[in-house]
Amino acid sequence: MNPNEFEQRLKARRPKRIPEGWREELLRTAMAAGGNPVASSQPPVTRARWRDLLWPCPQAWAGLAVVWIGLLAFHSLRLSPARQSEMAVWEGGKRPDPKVLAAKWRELNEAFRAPSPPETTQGRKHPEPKAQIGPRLGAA
Amino acid sequence: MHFLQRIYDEHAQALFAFLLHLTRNESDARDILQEVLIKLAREPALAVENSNERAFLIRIGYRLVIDQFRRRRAREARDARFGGEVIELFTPAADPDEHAFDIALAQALGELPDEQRAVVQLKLWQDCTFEEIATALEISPNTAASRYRYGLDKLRERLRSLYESIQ
Repeated sequence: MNPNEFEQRLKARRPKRIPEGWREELLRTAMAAGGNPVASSQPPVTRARWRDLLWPCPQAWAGLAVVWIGLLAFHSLRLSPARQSEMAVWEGGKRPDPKVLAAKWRELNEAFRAPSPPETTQGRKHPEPKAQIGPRLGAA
Repeated sequence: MHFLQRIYDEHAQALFAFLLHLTRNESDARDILQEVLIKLAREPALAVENSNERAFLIRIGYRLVIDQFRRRRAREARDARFGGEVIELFTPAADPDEHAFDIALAQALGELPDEQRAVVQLKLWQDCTFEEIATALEISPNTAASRYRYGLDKLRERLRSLYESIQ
């Protein structure tokens, strides 16, 4: 059997014709459906691009999304030991009294606002001339 | 003339033949053809933005067929149905030998994997190049060529005795 001859023989087959009566009905249905396009804020071209991007394997994309959601959930549920002990303290009734906290806060505020204590070296602000200090020292 | 009418007149025959080869069911082919037209009616921009309308329509049709196959999922059932079914894919020939060959060819095509059947149909009966087939089916030209070769070899083996007897 000559391969090319066989191929040519197959090519010579005429595909079945589309039934005559279909045209009117198919077009009427399509136009009726097209009259009520699905409302969407996205332009058709953008949607087509997204579809082209995601088409090759929608299941893979969906699977990937599920994995990410699972990871996020796992991450948010899993706490570090330090955080766990902190949570245990808060949940164990050792929560600090808000009144005590407020009082501490006030004390701190006052401490920072209070005037600075008098300097022990206040005299140095206006130092006396050495000439005046000298005789006093000598008298002492 | 509405753009859908033009598209139908220019491409519906080719698309129908392609869909019939893939689905091997005239009613399914019609449903998918209808779905393609509805998609275009709802989003005319889809057709405008594609320079090669035929390849674009075949791509949409192919996707819809694959969707349908996935939905049904009963691959074994489908293969069993295809295996024994005699479906008319070609315009009936006047010569009884040729007609018998057409029937045998239709059966042999039914035994090919969907991917090979799609490539064989586009190459043999739509005169598409491997580049055009690759664009339409979203595969590489090399893949299209190898699928065609595999498909053709299987058909040749399957039809060898009948082909030689009517030579």
